[in-house]
Parts: sequence; C-alpha cells; structure tokens
Amino acid sequence: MTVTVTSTTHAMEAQVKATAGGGGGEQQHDVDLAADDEITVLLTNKNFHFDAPSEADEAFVELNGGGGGGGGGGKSADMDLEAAIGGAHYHEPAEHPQVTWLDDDEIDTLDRVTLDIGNMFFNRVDSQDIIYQQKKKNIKMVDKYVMGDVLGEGSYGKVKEAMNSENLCRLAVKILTKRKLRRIPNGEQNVTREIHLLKQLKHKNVVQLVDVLYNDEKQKMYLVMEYCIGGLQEMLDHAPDKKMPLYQAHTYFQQLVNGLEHLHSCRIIHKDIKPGNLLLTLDQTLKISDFGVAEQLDLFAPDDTCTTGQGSPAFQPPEIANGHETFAGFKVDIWSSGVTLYNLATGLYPFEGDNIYRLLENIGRSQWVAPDWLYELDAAFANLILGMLQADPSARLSLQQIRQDAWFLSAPAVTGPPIPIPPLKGDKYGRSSVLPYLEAYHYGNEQDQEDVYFTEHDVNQELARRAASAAAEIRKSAAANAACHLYEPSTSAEAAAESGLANGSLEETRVKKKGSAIKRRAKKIVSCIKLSHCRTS
Amino acid sequence: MFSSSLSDYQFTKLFKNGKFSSVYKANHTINNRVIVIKKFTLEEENDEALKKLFAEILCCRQFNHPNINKILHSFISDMDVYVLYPYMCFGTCQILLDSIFINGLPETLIALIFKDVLSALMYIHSNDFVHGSVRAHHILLDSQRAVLSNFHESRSFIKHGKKKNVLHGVSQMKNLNWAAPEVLDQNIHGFTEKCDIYSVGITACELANGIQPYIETQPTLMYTEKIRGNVPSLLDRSTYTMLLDDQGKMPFENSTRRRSFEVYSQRVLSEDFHQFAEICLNRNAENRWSAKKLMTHAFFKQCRHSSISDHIKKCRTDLQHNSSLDDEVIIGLQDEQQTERRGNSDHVQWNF
Repeated sequence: MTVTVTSTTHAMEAQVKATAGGGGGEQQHDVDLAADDEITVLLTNKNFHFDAPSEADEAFVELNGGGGGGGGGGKSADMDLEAAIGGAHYHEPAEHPQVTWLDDDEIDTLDRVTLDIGNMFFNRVDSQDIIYQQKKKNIKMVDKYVMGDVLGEGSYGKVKEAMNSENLCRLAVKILTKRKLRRIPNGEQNVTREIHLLKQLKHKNVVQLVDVLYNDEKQKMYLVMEYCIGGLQEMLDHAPDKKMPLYQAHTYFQQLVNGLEHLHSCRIIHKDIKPGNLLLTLDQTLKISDFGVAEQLDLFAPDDTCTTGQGSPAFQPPEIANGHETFAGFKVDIWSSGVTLYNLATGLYPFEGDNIYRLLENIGRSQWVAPDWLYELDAAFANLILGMLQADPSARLSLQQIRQDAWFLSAPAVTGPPIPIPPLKGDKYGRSSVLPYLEAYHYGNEQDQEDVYFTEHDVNQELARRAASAAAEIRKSAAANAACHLYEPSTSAEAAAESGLANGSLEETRVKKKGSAIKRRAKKIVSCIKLSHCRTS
Repeated sequence: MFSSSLSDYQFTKLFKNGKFSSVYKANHTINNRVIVIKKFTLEEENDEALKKLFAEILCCRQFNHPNINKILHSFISDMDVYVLYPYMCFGTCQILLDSIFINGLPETLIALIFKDVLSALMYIHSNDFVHGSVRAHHILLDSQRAVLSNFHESRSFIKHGKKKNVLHGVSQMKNLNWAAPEVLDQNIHGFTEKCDIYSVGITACELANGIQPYIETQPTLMYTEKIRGNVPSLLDRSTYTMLLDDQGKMPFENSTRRRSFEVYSQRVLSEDFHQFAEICLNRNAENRWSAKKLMTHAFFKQCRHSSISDHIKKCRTDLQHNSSLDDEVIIGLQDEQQTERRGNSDHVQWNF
C-alpha cells in the first residue's frame, strides 16, 4: 500500500515514526511534497538498518508494524513524511530497533540533506507503518522569547507564537531559514528590505517589529513582531456569506486609511493591500502587515513613480494589469484598498476571471461600473468604491479625498452583531499557545503523561469524521436558512438531510459547491484533532 | 493658585533621581505650602513615556476624591514638565515596609489603608476607569488617610465615544507581579475593573507579609501559577508552614528572612483578613467582589475604633528606640508632627 501525502502541514502536532513493515530491510516511500505543487517524490532507502540499540530509551515504546492500521484509504494525513523517511536513512543507529523518531529540528536537517544535496534515492513506506506520536511540549527559548505553537507557514518559513519571558507579552515570531530563502527569487534581498522598512514604521495600524534575532549556527533569522489574533481573510472565510456588515467594514477601512497614510508619509508603497495582509489584535485594532513586496521611494524622488508590481492579481490596478512600464505608486494602494473594502462588505471582487490571465485582462480592459444593487445597498458606499476603482490613476481618489468622502465620514448603522474573529486552533478565547510549554517546563514532573500514539488509519478516520460533521453543520445551517426564508416543499427534504441520513441531489450540489470550504476546514481540523480517543498501543 | 514659574518654588529635597523623571520636595514660596514636584524631561526621545504622562495628568484631573492623589498643577518650563502633588508625609506604603514594618504592617492599619483604597477604587470604577497598577508602592500615606496614586497604567472603558465591555492590553513589566491572571493571559476575553481587586489581594499579602509576592519567582512561573489559581497567602501561624521545604526546614539562608519567619509563626491574623484576601484573589474575575461590596466585608469592622494617625503615633514611639531608620521616614514623621501641631493650633483657634 502506498502513502500519498497530500500536503505538508507542520501544524499537525505529531512526530513521525517509520516502522518496518513485516520484514524487509528495504522500504519504499512514496511521498507527495506539497499540496500546491503535486510533485511525487520516491525515495529508495538502501541503508535502512535494524541495528540493535545499545540502550532502550524509556521514552520510546516499541511498536511493530502498526498491525491494526488497516491502511489509509483515499486521503492520508498531512505530514512531512519525506523527512521522516529520510530519517530512517539518515539516523542509522536508531534509538530503537525498527523505529526512528524525529522531531521538528531533525526533520529540518533532513530536509536539507535530502533536498539540497540532491538525494536521488526514493523510499516507499506502507501507510500502516507510519505511526505518529503526540508531540511533547518541550520548551524552546530563542533569546528571551519562549516559543509556542505554529501559527502559520509560508514559503519563507514558519510563524510561531511566542512570549517574552521578561514582560510576558504575547508575540509572533517569523522564522526565516537561509536555505528556504535561497530558493525564492530575491528572497534574501526582500527580507532585508522588509526589515529595513519595518524598523522605520511606528503606527497604531501598522504591525510593529519588536526585535530581530539571528542564529548563525542554525542559519535562521527571527523577526519578532507584535501578536495578532487573526486576519480579515480568515474572518471572511468563516463568515456565512464571506462578507461582513457594512458598519464593521467601515471601522476596519478607517483604520486601513490611517495606516496607509502613515506608510505613504514614510514614502512607502505597500503594493499588496488585501484582507489577508490586514491583521487584527485582541482589541480589534487593524494592523497592516507583510511588507514583502513594499517599496520605499527614494528621498529625492520627484514623484511616486514605480516600475515593479508584485502583489496579488485580484487586487492589482489596471495600470499594472496592462503592464505599464511606470505607474504612480500611491494610487496602487488606493486601488487595492478599494478592492479590499468592496470584498469585505460584499464578499465579491469587482473583477473576476477563470485564470490569472483572464482576470488581468478583465481588470485592464475597461472602467468598472458599480452594479445597481450596490447603489441600492448604500449609494454613498457605491460612490466611494467607484472613486477608488477609477481606471485612470489621476482620476482615482487620493487618501485626502477619501478622508473627506461622505461614506468615510458617516457612521453606518449597526445592523447586527459583527462577525467574530475565528477561533484559533479550536480555542475561541484565543489563549496563548505558549502556556502548555511553560507548564511542561515548570511542572514537568507532575505532568508525565502517557505517550499517545496513533496511526494513519486513526488520522484518516478522524479526518473523515470531522469532514462529515462539518458538512452536516453546513447543511444544517443551510437548511435552517432556507427554513427561515422560504417555506417551500424543499425545506422538508433539507430537514431530512439534516440528520445526515438522506443525501438528496439538492444537497449534493450544495455540498459540491461548499466542497472547497469543507476541504479547507478539514485541513484545518487536522491540526487540532484530539487524540484522546485514539487507539493507544 | 499655583504659580507656573519655576522661581516661585524652592526645592528642599531630592527624593528620587531618574533618567526620565526626578521627584523633589519643594516649597511654594507664594503661599508657603510644602508640595511634591515631579520633573519629567522632554528631551528624552521616549515619546511613549511622555504620552503616558499626559494621559495620567488628563486622567487625574478628571477625578475628585479624597483618596485619590490630586495633581495640583502642572506646567512646562524649559525642556521639562513639572507636575505638582500634595505632600504626603509618610510617602508610599513601600517606604513604611522597607523601614519600620519589615515583617508587615499591623492588620488594623492594613484595614484602614484598604478602606481608603477601596473607596478610591469604587470611585474610579464608577467612572469607568481601571487603575491597573494597585500596589504598596502606589499607595501614599499621611497622618489622616491613604491615597491612591500613579495613574499611568490606568485605562478607560470609554474610548472614541464608545463604551467597551472589556479591556485589552499588557501591563508594565515592573507591575507584573500584581497583575491579575486575566490581564496576563491576553486572550480575547480581556479584563474588567475586577483586575484591580486582584491587585488589592496581592497588595494585602505584600503589606501583611512585608515582602513582595513573587519577588524571587521567574515571571513565567508567576504567570503559570496565577493561571492555575495558585496565589500567595497571608503568612501567620496557620499558614507559615507552607514556606517550609520538604524536610520541614526553613529554606532561607539569610538571617532577616529567618527572623521574619519566626514572626510569622507566632502571629495570628484574623479569619476575616484571610477571607478578604481569598475573595480578592479569586481566579475567576466574576466571582471577585466589587470594590463596593468589599467595603462591607467584616474585615473592616476593626477600623471603627482606630485611625491611621493612632498607628503612626505608635510607630513614632518605636522609632525613638530604633535609630537606624531611613532618613525619609524620620523627616516624614517630623513633618507629620509639624502638620499635626499646626492642625492642633487650628483646633485651638476654633475653640477660642
């Protein structure tokens, strides 16, 4: 049986363990590197030994070939398998006869060995031979900062939560590894520029860089930033119609304008304003973040002319979509802010396209016209959007004009409860994820709990269960919605479907539509599977 | 009332000299009043601290309560900001703890102080403010009353014309040991004015035991302890054993700590006091009593036949036996005698 790993998520709090199947010394591992680029890497491990261990480490309980696993059916867990498999090869004298345990750092090291040196051996491993162990919360300090759980991960590296051990302030740490940066074009250059920019900025609505640390030995760089509980994009993703009430969008937009004003006053053009780059602190203060593609104008530049635009396509203005060689920089941010505001309040994009080329073509082709329903929703709002989405940069509103706009100055009526910040890893209070590490550190002896093991099979079952419940929830809410709005015969069918027994064609299409959402949810759920009920060996 | 010209003030004593601020005792030559002047330099590039100072001045000026330290006046001269406060002859409770009551204040005096502090808190809370840093260091005493000072950590529920239900934000590093668990936790829940009540509880332990709670604890351990609901306690005959280590021995090397340990093992604090501290230190903010309700607690019964000045008189006699005291307190006591004499003469005049 072959394992296909569909994505690599470090958030899954587990260690990977490869055990030998029934007998052979040689194993084959079939691994899919990342979800985005469906590469399949095959590793053949010829050096896998079963050396008897010199001493049995009590932490490692023997597990032979996870017999009851049964084998992962379709999907399989999100795990950095390739590293684990490499581990079997790399760590020859394993602590245990047929088992190799790896922690995050080792996986990183292996990453480097297997990828950078160009290891041509591929391995294949049985899905039932992979066993995960719940990760122990070993405290990790970087300078005076205690590291917590992973908040997110990008091409550059991870973002972890952290806490300043002196003043107990919650923080976020962006961890950049030289190795990963080298793979990205202009990676190191971009990061140096980002740090340089962030150091100059100090404003309520711009994310604050607290500290920069370097670890030459590990080739890592740590950017310590103030902590944000979530981003606007996640909020939208969790909202029923992927939009927020007008008054809520208004409060965020005002803060966005304040932040942008500060950036522009420092001659900085962000170039990538979008909901995903707007974060929120605990007290709902908006913070503009991610200065990866931002540009600072020269002190003696005659105007705001720019030549490069690298932001997200859907938020690009026509002048960039049409590939103009030079364009006015500040107005780029205005356009993206307009798209952002429109997206926050309506859940839609002014321009769409099946693919990036179509999208850019549509953006570049013609002046956007505000739809009639938008005028019905709020005429002043439609006017502002229209002013910000002028195809001609010189006709587009400036920040000063936006400040004087009728809708900007108005206070939209509160029409209901605001959409909330989505729970982080299942904790709706957004508690610090550093706390368990601190507890393990300070009361380690008391908390020596049993090791928890689980297999692919368990993970798959749990995944399926979560996905099913998520789907049921969506169906339920849809049914409830329908029941509220229209009393039609279909409601009864939906109500029946609610119980999860019937799967009418109507439901199926709905589920299909929401399919991606479910998938996304399911993916997230992997990171918070409670393992209490899983089989322990 | 007060002059804005520096030449009208005669600086008589320097209390504290810091990088950003200095504290002086001064004489206002126009009406011959003794005051305290805090001087802050504007040259420092520390605009964060300056903002806090301005917020503190604004905040204090909104309050009018006998148990809240008033700002008499503030003005700018050259590159310095001068803020004028009334002179409190005993200084902070911290000074008393450091000099006279090394093993803690007498229980009745604590009750008297907290009665004043709680009435100040009640007033602040009813105005939708949170003090945010109640500790012995921020409670000033003179012969009549205790006043709450240092509002630089204070926050209002009302911002931009809207009233919020909860507050968010971190507290200053030096006040962390007094902070409530929900403040340290920094989660979506935020905190309310009840965080001040928790600080009152910690301050109670501080005043009664004579040592800052968590003073030798790592901040991270202090944090996890508070999250777990473990709190410091008032040390007396019933609780002192918790200081002992596994073998039942005293863990302290240092002789003054040993001596205070003996004091703890002999004294008895009232059940009411223990209960009062317990209520204040409840892990769950909703179960903590409000300042108003706490004022009715049986702990304050003992205030009835006593006043702060009685205790001060007692400590003055102690003082005569003990000459190794802080200058400041001696001066404080002398000043107190002077003011009292003046008060007495006023009294005589009334009779006349």
